[in-house]
Amino acid sequence: MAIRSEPVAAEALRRRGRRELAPGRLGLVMNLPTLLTMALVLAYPIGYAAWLSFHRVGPAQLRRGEFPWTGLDNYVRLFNDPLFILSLKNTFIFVAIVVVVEIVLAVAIGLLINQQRIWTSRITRVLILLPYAIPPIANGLIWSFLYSFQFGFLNRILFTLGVIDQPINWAGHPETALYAVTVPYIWRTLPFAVLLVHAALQGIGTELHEAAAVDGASTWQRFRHITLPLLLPIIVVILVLRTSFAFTVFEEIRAITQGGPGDATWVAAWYSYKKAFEPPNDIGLGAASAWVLALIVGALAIVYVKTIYRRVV
Amino acid sequence: MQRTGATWSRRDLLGVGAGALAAAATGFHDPRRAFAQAAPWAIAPKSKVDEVNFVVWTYGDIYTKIAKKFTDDWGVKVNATISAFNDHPTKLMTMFAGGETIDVSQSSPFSFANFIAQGLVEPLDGLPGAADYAADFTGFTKQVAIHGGKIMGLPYFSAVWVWNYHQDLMDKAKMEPFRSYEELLEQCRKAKKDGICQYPILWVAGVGLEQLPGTWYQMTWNRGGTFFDKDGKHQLGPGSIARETLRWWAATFKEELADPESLKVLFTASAKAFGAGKNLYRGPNHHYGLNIANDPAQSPTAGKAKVWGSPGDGRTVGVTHVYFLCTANRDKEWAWKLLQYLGGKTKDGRYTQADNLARDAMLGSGYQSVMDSDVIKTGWAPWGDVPAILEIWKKATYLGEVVNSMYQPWHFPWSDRLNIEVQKCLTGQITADQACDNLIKAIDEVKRA
Amino acid sequence: MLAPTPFGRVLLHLANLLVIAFLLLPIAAVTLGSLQAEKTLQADTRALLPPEWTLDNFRVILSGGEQRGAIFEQVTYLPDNVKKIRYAFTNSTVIALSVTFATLAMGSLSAWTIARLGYRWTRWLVNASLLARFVPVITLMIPLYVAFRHLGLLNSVVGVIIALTGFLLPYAILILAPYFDQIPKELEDAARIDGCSRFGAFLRVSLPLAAPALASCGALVFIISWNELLIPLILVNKAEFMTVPVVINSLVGDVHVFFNLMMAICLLALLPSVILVLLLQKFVVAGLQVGGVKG
Repeated sequence: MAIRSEPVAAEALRRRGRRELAPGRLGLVMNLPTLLTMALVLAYPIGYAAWLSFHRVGPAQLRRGEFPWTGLDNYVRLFNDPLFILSLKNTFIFVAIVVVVEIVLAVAIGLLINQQRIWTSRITRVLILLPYAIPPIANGLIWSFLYSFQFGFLNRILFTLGVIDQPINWAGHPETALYAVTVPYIWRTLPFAVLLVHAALQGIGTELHEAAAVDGASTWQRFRHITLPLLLPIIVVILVLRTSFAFTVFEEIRAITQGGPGDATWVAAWYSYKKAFEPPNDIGLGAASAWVLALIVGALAIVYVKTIYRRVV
Repeated sequence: MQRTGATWSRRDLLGVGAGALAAAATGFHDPRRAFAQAAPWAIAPKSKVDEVNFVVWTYGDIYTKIAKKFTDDWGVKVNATISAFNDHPTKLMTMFAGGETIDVSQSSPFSFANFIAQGLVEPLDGLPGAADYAADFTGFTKQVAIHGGKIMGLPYFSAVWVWNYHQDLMDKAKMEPFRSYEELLEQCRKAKKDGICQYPILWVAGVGLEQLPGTWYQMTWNRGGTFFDKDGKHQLGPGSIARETLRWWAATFKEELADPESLKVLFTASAKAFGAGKNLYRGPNHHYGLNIANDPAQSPTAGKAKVWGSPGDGRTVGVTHVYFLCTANRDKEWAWKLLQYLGGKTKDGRYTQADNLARDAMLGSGYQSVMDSDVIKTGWAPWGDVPAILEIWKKATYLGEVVNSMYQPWHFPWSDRLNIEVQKCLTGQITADQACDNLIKAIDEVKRA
Repeated sequence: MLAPTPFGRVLLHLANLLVIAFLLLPIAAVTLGSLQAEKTLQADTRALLPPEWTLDNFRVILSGGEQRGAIFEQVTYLPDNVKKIRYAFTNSTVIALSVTFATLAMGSLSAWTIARLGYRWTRWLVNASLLARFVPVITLMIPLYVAFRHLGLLNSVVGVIIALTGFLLPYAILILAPYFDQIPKELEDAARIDGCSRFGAFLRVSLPLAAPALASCGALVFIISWNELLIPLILVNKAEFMTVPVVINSLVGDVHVFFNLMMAICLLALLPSVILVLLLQKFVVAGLQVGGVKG
């Protein structure tokens, strides 16, 4: 490059320019596969889901290919269905528990694996990723073995330790079932939150801490007044992302409780799935309920895109 | 069984076309017909197909076997879609709605009316040999397979609801099996108090179309109640037998006589759990669980699970599950041929599948001639007291008599609600009164949808 | 970080042990569960370790039901899906690899245009990708089922690949675009002066330099597509096209399946992605920390 004189280089570029696509066109061509795929798999279905939710769609209609217009009927039925309201309520409780516990654990474990001088922290740092790799449905099944009242692994551990003398019915009790299913979900999704905190911690220098220590600040004071404020932005990110993803929990419910006992663990995605894909296959109602879920999550998404994403990431 | 079967065919509850029956009767009673060259099950269809398919719920490798026999006999490949019992309706509906070809499928009696209403089921009247099969249907089978006067399916299997008790624990407790519900409770309280077992009764109360609901249906019927009267009016109001049965049932959970695992287990899982030998009794459910609880390969206490009848006059309930020819078939003649392999006779004129199911899985048959044959007596013998089960069988009424909403398309979504409400009641979240009131309300809601 | 006191060190070690125990708890459960017979599990419901160990569960799965070993010798019924699990592993591998390749190819094309061309509509693509990350799969599945039915894409491996690729493209764009952005533009300019077209410069200069980001993105896409349940569950209902999670799902309600057999299947199902994560740990961490991926 250094050998060429400037005018020659400019001339070469101009000659190229005549033979190759204009940048705008090139951009369009290069984005064509992405745009087509995303239109087919994301944009179109979202719109189509909204359209379906205003129609009567069942197996007979699908086979005939005619979907009679029903206006707001699906939504009216949806909000009059106590099971849907309960599913939403359960979802909110589930999300609240998951998000709060995950943030607390993520900060704690993030600080823990940040300890360079503790050799066990290095092991934790490797293993923390493990849950991320587990297929959610397998995770659910494994926890159903852990929780089993009849021959569960968790009770076996507690029997062996001598902590209990009668088995505990972890996921089978209506008052505790919803809490029980949060644990496997937290277990599987925790790595993401921990890694974000871990990355943020590495951006915090040691100078402030050292200065504060010289001034006689306790460990807790240093955490409270230095680390925590600096972690706040990433905590907000985790809060928004984990909230929106936890709203769609499905696999662990399917594998562990199937919504039971009774209706104790019916959540929003489970409701949509059951209504749309189990007889009598009310796909219109299923689409309506899925759209309500999408709207709730969508509101969070807009907050995230408009305010948080630009400032932090 | 024979007696009840005969009663039903005389009563002709569902109004089978008289002509069809007459034809069936002549066909069936003519012994030469079965051995004649022109036996309908031995004739190849005129049309040509590359393959046929069926969509069923899992029962291990019975389908691999029968599919192989079909291919060996007719040179046509068989494609099978097999899912778990509770997933089957989902799978079938998804395929049907997806515009796929389905020659033959399967239904429990609880979903059959829904499938018929959705247009999945092709009537069999007029197909070669169909009337002969209908003439051999047992009483249960007629009430499921004949719908609106038409033959809509062939039987998969029949089962009746029986109690089980565990011999080892009974010996330990020095008890004889119960004769009344009061005695049952007393025995359970005593067994619990004496430390014989922590949870004396294991119910089948897992979510399903006939698991949890079946237990309630059976005990209500045994006490002389029903769920709907002949005009379809519900019998769940205050003071009704169904309501009181539910109250009694929920109390067994409250008193911790019932194993909490009950709420999770379906038939097979409960049989496996009962095999662990931790419960005195296993609540009323399908008779064939003994083939698991008493199987040395699967059960640590094989041979100790015993069959027991219900209290009072011993009346109980039974069902037949069916195979049907799907309207989405590729070729009606070949689909009919395949249907017969699953629910009728094979090329050699034998009820191959029904015989195998009796021998391998202790299932009852929907055909009177199979029920009367030695296949049942010798086939079931390794797992349980055959005469005792057949005695109970005689006291069984088709479940449709108890819960005639089964004939309605809305029974399916109503069952969903029933599972939820009853589980909430059994776990003490609501009372039996609230559960029944909610279910009464739900009837109108599911009818509207 | 400041050096902790000796007491503090003990506490920190204890905390680590606690976290490690929690992380390994399900792994221990699935491993112990898969190495015993159901009969053993039922016989003593309080013992932690079984009196007898067996590899029969794995034997029966890996041989497609041919070799039954001692546990399954007497068993007349073995579900079809258990026999076909080998096909599910093949399908899952083909699908996960194809989706990874397709997503990386399309994603890097788009990410580069976003980083280099800087039009308003390419920036809009970033926002669209961000929003797309939030769309619940269940909302997509109902209409996708109807639409794919129309296009004849139900029950095909291709259909699942297309759906998963579209679903994961936004993630790829969000991971790759910032990386392309930080590759110095001068390197491309130099290549262009040497006679490369714009596209050639992307292909020969930027793409190789983006290898670490491609590895991060590829590892994450592979794992998510290997693990995904709902998309293949709803688009596929024939055994020959099922993926591993779909087969596992089909066994959840299957009362004829031995519980320990299911544990063995779960263990086999989680091995590929666990191995991948441990091998590519650095890249997975980097990918996750870009914040572009669902947890």
